[in-house]
Amino acid sequence: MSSRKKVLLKVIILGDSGVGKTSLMNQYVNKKFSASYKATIGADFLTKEVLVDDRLVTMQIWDTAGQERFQSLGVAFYRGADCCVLVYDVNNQKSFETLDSWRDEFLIQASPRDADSFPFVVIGNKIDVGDNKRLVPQKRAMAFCQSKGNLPYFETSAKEAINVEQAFEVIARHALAQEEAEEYTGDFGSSTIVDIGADSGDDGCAC
Amino acid sequence: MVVTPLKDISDSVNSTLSTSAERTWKLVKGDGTGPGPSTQGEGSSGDTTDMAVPAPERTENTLPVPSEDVDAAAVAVAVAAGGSSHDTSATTTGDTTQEYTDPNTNIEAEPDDDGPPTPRPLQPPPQTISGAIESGSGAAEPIQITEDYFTRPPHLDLSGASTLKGTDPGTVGAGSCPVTPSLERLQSKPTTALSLSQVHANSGVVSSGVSVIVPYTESSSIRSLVPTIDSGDNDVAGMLGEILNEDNVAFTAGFGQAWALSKQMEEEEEALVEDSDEEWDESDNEEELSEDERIEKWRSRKKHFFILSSAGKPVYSRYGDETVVSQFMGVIQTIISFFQEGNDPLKSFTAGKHKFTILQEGHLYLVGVSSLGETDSQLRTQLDMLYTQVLSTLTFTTVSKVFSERENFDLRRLLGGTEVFLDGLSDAMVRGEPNILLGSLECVKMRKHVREKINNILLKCRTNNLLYGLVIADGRLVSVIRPKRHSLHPPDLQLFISMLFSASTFKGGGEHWTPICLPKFNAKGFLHAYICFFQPEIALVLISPTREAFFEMKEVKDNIIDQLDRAGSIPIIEGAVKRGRYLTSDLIDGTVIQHFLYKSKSNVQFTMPSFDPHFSSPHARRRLMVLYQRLHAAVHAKSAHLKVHHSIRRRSVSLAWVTPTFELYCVAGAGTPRNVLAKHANSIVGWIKREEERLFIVGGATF
Repeated sequence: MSSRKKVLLKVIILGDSGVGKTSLMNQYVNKKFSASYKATIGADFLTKEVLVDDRLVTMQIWDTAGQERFQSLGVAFYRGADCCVLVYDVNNQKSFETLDSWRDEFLIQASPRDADSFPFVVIGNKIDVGDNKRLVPQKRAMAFCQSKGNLPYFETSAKEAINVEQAFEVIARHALAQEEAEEYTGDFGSSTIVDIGADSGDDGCAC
Repeated sequence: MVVTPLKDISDSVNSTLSTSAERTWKLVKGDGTGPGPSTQGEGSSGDTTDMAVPAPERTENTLPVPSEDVDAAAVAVAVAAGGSSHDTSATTTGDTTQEYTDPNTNIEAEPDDDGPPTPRPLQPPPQTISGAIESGSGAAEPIQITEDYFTRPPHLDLSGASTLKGTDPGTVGAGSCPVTPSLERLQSKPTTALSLSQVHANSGVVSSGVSVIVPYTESSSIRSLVPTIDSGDNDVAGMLGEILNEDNVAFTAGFGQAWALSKQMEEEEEALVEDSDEEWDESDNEEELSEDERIEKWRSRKKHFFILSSAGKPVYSRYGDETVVSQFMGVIQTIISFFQEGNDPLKSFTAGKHKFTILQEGHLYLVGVSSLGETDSQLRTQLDMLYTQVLSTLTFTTVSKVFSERENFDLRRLLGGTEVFLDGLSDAMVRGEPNILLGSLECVKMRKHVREKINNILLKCRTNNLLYGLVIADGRLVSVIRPKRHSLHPPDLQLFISMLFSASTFKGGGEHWTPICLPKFNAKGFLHAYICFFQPEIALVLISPTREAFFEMKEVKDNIIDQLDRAGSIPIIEGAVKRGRYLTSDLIDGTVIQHFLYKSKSNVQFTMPSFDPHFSSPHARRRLMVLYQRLHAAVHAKSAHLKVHHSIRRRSVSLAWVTPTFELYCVAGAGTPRNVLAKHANSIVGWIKREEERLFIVGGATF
């Protein structure tokens, strides 16, 4: 199987406006952080190659706009994803509370075959801001993840590049596992033999 | 969406990014709405200039019906009162074309035609339409009148348009349906909006037909203001009413400008095919290039083909590494998806010089991006070839199964190794191949009895497990045998021939046994092909429905080769391959015709002379193929009831002639008088008729 082409993994990043989705992606892919906020319009795409247990995979990261008005993109974006990353801002109570609805929205729109086992990863971003401003305690976030089927949880700072690499490594691993969940068995042959007696195409060429 | 490293092709896409510059988008929805030339306007003025600029692109000469591809379509409709919407090719933009159109034109009617008219079967009795627009100029200057009913000249324009019910799009644009104010059906409404809050901001734009130009602003993102056409059955009378009422004087007024423009466009167009060889370089030695250089090179390609899954995962791209491609695929998927609701899929759009044509086949999206001026339907045919190639490797059954089970499936796993065949096809389509353009096959010219002898040997040696037997030399058919109840479909055969001859996989002797799906025959399952190149460039192919028939087919092959050998047929085939194609000068001494394509419709086959001596170089050949592509587009525009299309350009004079039984496209040197060209075209047709059974496989051998 080593000769097989490297796998492409589609990863969707969801979360409220301004929680740092684009910054996380940029920090991970480009190792850059920009302090100025620029709302994502529609969606951004970045690609990164990573090694997961000696397997080279390509992550196609779909960064979505958090604003309500872009929600209509739904199905198009979510379709065929291998992993969904839910991001909130630890200093913003509301962004945490909406995680559940982001998750539901994804499951409805993407309708993965096995909703219960579909990999989500939760990220609490902006931990650099400081404990005194923090509004969502780690405990509460962990409890949420626990209740949703033991989702992996990371606290990151896209600004200071804390834990970003680690989070995406887990994302890649889960996405790969999802992608390979059901290997195509390749039952070419028996079912695909042509019965030439039954078929008659005569609209073609006369030669 | 941000596609950080991509530009140009993805420029369109990039325009949604946070760049503050305003851009203009032109999204074309619905089949065959040919976009005009450039659609990218600058700034807000783009709204109107876009329409105005491309308008006077055609200049006409002074024949009884001075019309030209698009106009011809209109005239034809006027007479026949048939046809509905116009799939105007918009490809000949910039030609200084003069052409004879439709049954009503008399080819001999040229005013400066000296000498008695030669009898030719080219046309039914002349019949004047609206008394011909007056030419009134010296013979030296054949270009007279600018008429393009479908792209409004600037001065004609917006007043009428603004009376349309839908204030947005609704008028007539380059290559789109003419719309009368009374056609309420064509009212447009926003169908998709990325940012609803902004939809109305630009709805005052008056633009053309089904093509919509939407100025981009940062907050607006991609939007479509595409009109919804409830019924394709447009009111022809209404359409024509508007067309015919247009004041011709108005059209002629823009003449000077049009001439300059068309000249400029022809030059631009020629520059297209005359760029450095490097741009056409089909090889992939990109290792030594830096990332930026690679992207630059990727962007500069004249033509791209992409296949992606409905999830936006890349399946195939002719050029570019995965990093470049996978982001781009995401963007493409997003654009396509915007239009999916409401059962009104996006079929094509234009961004800058590039036309994007999209073919959706279940969970596969095929996208062609070209700056070579093909029409939608020409590109779509090419995309269908690629799709057919994918199916021939995997079958329709497998493709639909894997995606219905898992939308996130990475189809490259299953295609692994067969990309060479997709590459071969893509390259052929970038170069331009007559067989794909004409949707037909080419045969090796040989005597009828020689071909019959080969057929009979194949028939004699066949066994019950043989479905089709073929001898193919140098990419051309020599002999075919098939069961009476099954025909062979040209796309299947084209694909097969492309696989055999474009990649080195099967060449170089040895025997091959491979499962293959012939999708037009049966997309659901595999047949099995025994392939043996028994001579360099000459292959014997035996196709069987039985998986276990390898040894049987091997025996059949041994018998066939043995008998061909004894009958002395092999040297004859070899000789035919070595000789190559005939020369036009072999047919008519000192002919003005440098090259031609002749398609026999009933046989679904075509014939052509050698590219030598006039089109031996790759450049000349490309230019020729672009010219053919345009001629083809002109006579195949959806409602172009066009029989003869005559085109005069700086470098060549050409003719396309379509009858119920054949299509002929021929090219002569610049300055050739058209009566001479027509005469020689007739001679060629006569010659082909005489040689028909040598040039084509007529009927074929069945069992």
